[in-house]
Amino acid sequence: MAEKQKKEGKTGLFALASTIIVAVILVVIAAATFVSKYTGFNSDEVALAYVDTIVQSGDGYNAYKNTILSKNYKFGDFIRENYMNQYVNDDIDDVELDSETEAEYLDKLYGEMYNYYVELIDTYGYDNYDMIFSKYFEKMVPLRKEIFKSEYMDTEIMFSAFESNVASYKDSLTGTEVTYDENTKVKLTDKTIGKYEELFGEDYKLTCKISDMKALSDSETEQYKKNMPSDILETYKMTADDINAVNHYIITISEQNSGDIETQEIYTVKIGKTWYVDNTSIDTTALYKIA
Amino acid sequence: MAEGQKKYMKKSEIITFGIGLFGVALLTGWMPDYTTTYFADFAFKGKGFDQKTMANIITTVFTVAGFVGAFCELIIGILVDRTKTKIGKVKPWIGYGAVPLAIISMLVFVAPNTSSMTVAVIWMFVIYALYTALSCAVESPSNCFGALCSPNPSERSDAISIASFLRSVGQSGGQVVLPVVGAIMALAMGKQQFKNAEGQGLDLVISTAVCALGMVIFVMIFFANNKERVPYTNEKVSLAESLKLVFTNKNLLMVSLTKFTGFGRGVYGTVSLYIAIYLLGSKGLKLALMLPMGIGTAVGMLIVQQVLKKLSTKQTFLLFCGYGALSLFVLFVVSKSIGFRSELIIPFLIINFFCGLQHGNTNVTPNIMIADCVDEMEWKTGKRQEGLAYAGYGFFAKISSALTKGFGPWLVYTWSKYQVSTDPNVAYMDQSDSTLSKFLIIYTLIPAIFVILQGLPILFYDNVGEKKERITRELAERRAAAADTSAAAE
Repeated sequence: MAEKQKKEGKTGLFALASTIIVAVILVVIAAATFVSKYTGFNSDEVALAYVDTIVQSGDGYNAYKNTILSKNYKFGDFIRENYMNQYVNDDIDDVELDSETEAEYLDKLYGEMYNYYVELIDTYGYDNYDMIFSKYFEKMVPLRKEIFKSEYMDTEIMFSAFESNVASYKDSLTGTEVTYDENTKVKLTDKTIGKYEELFGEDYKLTCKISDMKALSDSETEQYKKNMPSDILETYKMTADDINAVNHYIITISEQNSGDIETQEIYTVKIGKTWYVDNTSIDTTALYKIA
Repeated sequence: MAEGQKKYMKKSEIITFGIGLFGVALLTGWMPDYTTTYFADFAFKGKGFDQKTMANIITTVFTVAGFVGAFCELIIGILVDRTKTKIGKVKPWIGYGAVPLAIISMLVFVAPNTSSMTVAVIWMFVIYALYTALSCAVESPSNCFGALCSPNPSERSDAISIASFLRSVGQSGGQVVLPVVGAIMALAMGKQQFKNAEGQGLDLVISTAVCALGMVIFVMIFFANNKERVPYTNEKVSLAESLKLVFTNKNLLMVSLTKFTGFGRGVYGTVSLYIAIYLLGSKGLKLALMLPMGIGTAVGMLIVQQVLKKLSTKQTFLLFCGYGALSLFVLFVVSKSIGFRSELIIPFLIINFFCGLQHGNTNVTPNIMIADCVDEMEWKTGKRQEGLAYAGYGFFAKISSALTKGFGPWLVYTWSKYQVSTDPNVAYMDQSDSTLSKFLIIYTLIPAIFVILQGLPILFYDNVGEKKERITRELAERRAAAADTSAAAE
């Protein structure tokens, strides 16, 4: 009997001990993986990711996902709430079109809006996203009504048009390869030479690296916070007081054949444990003019 | 009280047996599908590996791992039969195996930071083969435990029924863990930062840790509370003997072959994640997609039990094969006519329930057929060999699973022309209409074809009707005669 109880006790002890040990191991592995993969915990990576996204693809749109704008907002929700919802009219049925006509209309819509998109970037730049989004949807919504002859509008239509233009802008910089439909072998896209290829050659390679970094002192941080635009921060549902550290960076953009071609000054701010690019204090105009 | 009616198990043991199987299923149900998406979409994101090559490699990884699993199934079965410890023959495998299984499962979701495709490929093969071997070492013995928990067949059946139910619930547990983890992460990090983390597959990493820890906790509750009560002998069973048994008994071979000919039935599991993403809008909603099918399966098991009272096992199996193929075909036709858009969600989920009914058949009828085959083998040879019969069937099940795990990812990542997101902040990119249509075919028509194919071997199954009745009658007579002889000798 005593031996039986001893055996059961040993089994229970093993169960308890192994559960605790495994829990510790799992937490350590998961935490280490999270910290190493999640860029938000690393100020350098956040700064580099922001600049690299714009440099490689001219994509100032997705670059905002690393900024304080996205601290309390899902970036898409911020755009919906502030720039799209006023145009939504989805209580009615959209026009029914065959796929060929729909593709033709979409080509027309995206094509016309693309020229305007480029004009907006040249005129205002992505740092003034307010003007980009306001002007873009102000023009796109009536244009879609005109082309499709439909009053229907939802946020998916608006996102699709905008993101199509973002992708086309990227293609204009990087160029495109010939692609074929693997089933029908019909050519889908032609080979195009991008502006970067024209400028640096087809084997171009752009890299971003930190050439200078400084962590602001407490007094500098306080001063930095005082200079932040409180009205804009309010639209992000945050205040400068949320910030507990600030880093300053100079990021150098190089091309493998041409050497250093541009520099970008950038500030990252720490809120809680996560770092964000401060999009209120940045001027990325030069990055869009590389090509 | 007669020996056969005596209750051996504490009530808590019946529950903790179920909790143990729930825990094992929580992890083994989570791993295959989410490992597939982790390898394909996140593990080497931004490393510039060729997408087509990666798709083919992932297909091969899962196929090879499946064959490793089939081999391990037999080896572990043999090793379990040779195990003799103070706490039993099965319990040590479950209790001691749970610890390395949890850790290796976690490591499957920790990809090396490498730009070398060779290193990436070796890592995927090694880590998933290790996971497969360890999961066999825990899962197979846990499924055997029911046979050892009580000498009372009735009590044993009750315990197995409850545990089987909890195991089937556990298999979908990961689908609850994922959205809960996602919701907590979004709350803690903010929605956009969560999307950024999701873009790196970090929600999968955390969910795996939760499932692995859950497995260990639940298995340890079982380990501490449950006992093996059926005396056992140490059988020296060889691998060759196991295979020979399956291949020389026609009816057992036919039942086992249903697994083989129907291997493509399960490819819907691989694509279900993507159906959830592109039809329902989130991978967290895979549960919503699979729940109606799961409920359908449970209802199907009840229906099958009733049908078996009217029809033979052979007729029941074939009837449900026909029904299964038809229901999947209806799902395809309805989906194509509505289109891959939000209006499809409700009809899709409703028909999904009716598609689930067929799984009641594959969960119940083959097990009864194997038991009948064991009777037939005893009738022919005088030897009763349940262990070998189930190991042989399990071998075919694992081979079939290997083929499914290879075929499914090939269909999804190669045949459908699925495009992987290269944006670090976007988990899954938009797909073409052609890809979405192929997803639908993978979910419906391809399984429908294999549901028909799985019925073909059963056409040659003949342990039914008068033959089965004769076997049952003559075995009963032999046992009675043996009991009389034994009593006379005493």
